[in-house]
Amino acid sequence: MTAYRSERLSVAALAMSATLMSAQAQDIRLEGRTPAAAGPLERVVWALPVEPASLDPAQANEFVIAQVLANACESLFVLDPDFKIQNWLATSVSQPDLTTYVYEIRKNATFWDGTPVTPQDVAFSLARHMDPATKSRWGRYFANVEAITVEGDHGVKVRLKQPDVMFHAVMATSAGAVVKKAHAEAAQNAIGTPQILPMCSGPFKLAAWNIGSSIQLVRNDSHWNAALKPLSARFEFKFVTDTAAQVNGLLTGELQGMYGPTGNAIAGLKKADEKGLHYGRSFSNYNLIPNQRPTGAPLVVSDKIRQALSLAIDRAAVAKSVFAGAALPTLSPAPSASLSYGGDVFPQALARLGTPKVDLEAAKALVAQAGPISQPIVLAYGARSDYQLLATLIQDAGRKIGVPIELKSVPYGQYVAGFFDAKLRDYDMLMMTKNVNMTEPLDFYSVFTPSFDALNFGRYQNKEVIDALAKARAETDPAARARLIASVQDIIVSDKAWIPLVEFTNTVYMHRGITGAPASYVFPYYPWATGVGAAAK
Amino acid sequence: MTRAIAFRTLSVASTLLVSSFIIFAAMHYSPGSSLAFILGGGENTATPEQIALVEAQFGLKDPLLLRYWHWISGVFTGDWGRSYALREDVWRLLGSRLPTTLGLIGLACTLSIAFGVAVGVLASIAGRAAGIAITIVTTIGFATPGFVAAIILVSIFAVKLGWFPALGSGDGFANSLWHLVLPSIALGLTTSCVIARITRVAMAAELGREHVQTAIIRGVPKHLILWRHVLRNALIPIVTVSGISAATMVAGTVVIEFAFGLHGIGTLLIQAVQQKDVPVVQAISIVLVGAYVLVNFVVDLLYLLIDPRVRLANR
Repeated sequence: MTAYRSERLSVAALAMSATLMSAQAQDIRLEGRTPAAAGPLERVVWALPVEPASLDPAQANEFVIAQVLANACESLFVLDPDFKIQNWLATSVSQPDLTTYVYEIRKNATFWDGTPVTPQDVAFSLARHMDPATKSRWGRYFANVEAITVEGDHGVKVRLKQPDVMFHAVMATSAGAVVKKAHAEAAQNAIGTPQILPMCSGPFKLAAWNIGSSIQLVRNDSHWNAALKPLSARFEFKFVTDTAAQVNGLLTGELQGMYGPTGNAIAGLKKADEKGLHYGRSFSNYNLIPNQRPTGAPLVVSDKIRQALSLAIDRAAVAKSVFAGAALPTLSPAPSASLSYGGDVFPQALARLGTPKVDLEAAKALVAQAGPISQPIVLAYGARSDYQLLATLIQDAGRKIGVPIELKSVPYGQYVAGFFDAKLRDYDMLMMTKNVNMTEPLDFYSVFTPSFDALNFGRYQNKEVIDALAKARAETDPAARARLIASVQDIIVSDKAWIPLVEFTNTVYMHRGITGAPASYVFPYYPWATGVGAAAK
Repeated sequence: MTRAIAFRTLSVASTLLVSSFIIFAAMHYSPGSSLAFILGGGENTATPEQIALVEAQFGLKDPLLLRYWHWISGVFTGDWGRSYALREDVWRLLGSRLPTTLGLIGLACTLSIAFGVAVGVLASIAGRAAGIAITIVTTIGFATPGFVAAIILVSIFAVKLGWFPALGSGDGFANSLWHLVLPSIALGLTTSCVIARITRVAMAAELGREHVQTAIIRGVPKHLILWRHVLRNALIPIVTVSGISAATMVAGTVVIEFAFGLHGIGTLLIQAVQQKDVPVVQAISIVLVGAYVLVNFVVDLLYLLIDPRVRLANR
């Protein structure tokens, strides 16, 4: 998942935020939930940074679509605000053998039209992702699926070609969302357009999608989970792309809340209404990605240079100036919130990384060992103000240790197109945010395996890593899996395959009088809007 | 007359055809593929089967002329295609955005022409000090880019005073108009200052003409002189500049729409170009080129109304 954060007028916004941020250095406090709402509201207006391309759960592997659908289209499991997996439309799961999952489907769930959610609907919804014509963005997670069948009256059985823990983990995202079979088939499977919204079972109904302006949700009064009855009768998502417009709307109350404002927007909100901002753990790390060029082209960013750059970059300054303090310096390539199981395996692996600190002398020594640098290193980034500022700080770090870096700003659309065309990203270094979708670090580290190779932007290849990850993906014992992944992490870090920079915390802003949206990064997975209501007086 | 109309229609049609091909070709040869946006923008999680299917379905690997032929033959049968990224019929997409942009440009034109002409006339008949003051103010206004004006207007009139909404298009006619006031001022600021200065210069030139002097000497009431002999004759340059400004406002609306969170044609075009969303880019460019041609046509018609000499020459 990558944020689409448009940055028109960034010149003016940058100038404004630069003056704001100098005064703010204090640490931020991470929360899981924000204060609970005290009462209902007739209507809530929430900002979306861009209009969703679709409201089909098969497209919802990015946080804009997913934050709407998480409230409307329920999955087999959900990730709750404490990052715990809860049974949802599935009431239990059993694993008769390593390659079979049997999901018991909830009996009292109904679609918005009143018909019950059946195992046939579930099997259909999962199998959709495997049909190329659905163009599902979750397709790769279903690569190991052999068959999905209805089992008994209330069960769905998934048979895999080989053991795959990521398949089960992705059921707690919109990949596991259930749509009504008859409804989708009547629309030739083309659901999620403004005309044909999907038929789901969630606590909010998708009422209308007004192209170009908003999406309306209304409360579903016959939802199976009475404990989750939405506090607001109507929930409206408004599309506002410009950062300055978002900040103005939020401060005037025309927009009452927003997830994932950019660093510039956070700076503006912080200055005017700091109390409205809440920070939580996230699934979003910023990495600097050296191009390993396995094709035989000369390696510009050698091993020593990569180590040196990692030592020279001032991550605390990055967190402060690019993200208005809402980021944490990190040496872990994978977001720490995804390292959630396996006892003390991951805490120990993280401890081995040490703490990020700047050591220019050691960095200069490494550069001296690397020998003379014949040409500047070209660092390419999508033209967004966060990347722009980040690139400047990296260039500055290089200058301090005698590594010349040339910046290459690529129009953001072309940068995105580069994800599908390696020729468009053949630069010495790239900058990238790789979000994960689950509390499973394999979702991050799998970029270094053939099954997700399109995301391996630096084309880093290491057989040891690939083998260990393949083993981990088949390992159902969490502790053993954690040990395998920790060993991979050690290799990735010592090779500096990707250079971790910061973990961008999840940020939510709520206007005065509104509260209840979770602060942790669960809004793409959990029906968070149900808890948004009036704050206590 | 019929020949003139036929010639005009033919030239408009060929302009549209040629420009549509040039834009299509530019999109075709620009780096990157529409693939990234058909299969989801943020990341590449597409399977090889999906990529093969999409490339075949959308003819992404076809040569330029074949792709253009598919598009243009669709247009002649009334099928302009669907947006790649938003999976929506192109005209439905444009239809939802056009009212905002037309409203914005319409209001900006009305405000800036009314304000510009009024200030220009005032400057030409007011005393020296007032004239200088107006010149200074219009110079500053002329030099202020739309997005800067937007920031200033929003922070004063929306955030501080709360008189106007800070963003969005609003619902219903009156409310929509209310939402468009600040954006229109930001969009029309430069134009109104240009018109004010052109008006002042044109008025000054006319005021010095012999027939005006004669009228003054003969004791014709001042407001009649101004209205009949000065402003009317000064209108030709004013209309020309207003026409050109209205046409260029179409481009300026992009920045203003972004700044005010308005969902119009401008923001859609930028997004579509970035995403190589060919059907949307093609349809919007046809609309824009068409609008340009239309504005020029209206200006020509106005000349006929204002200046009898043009009418005579066209006989």
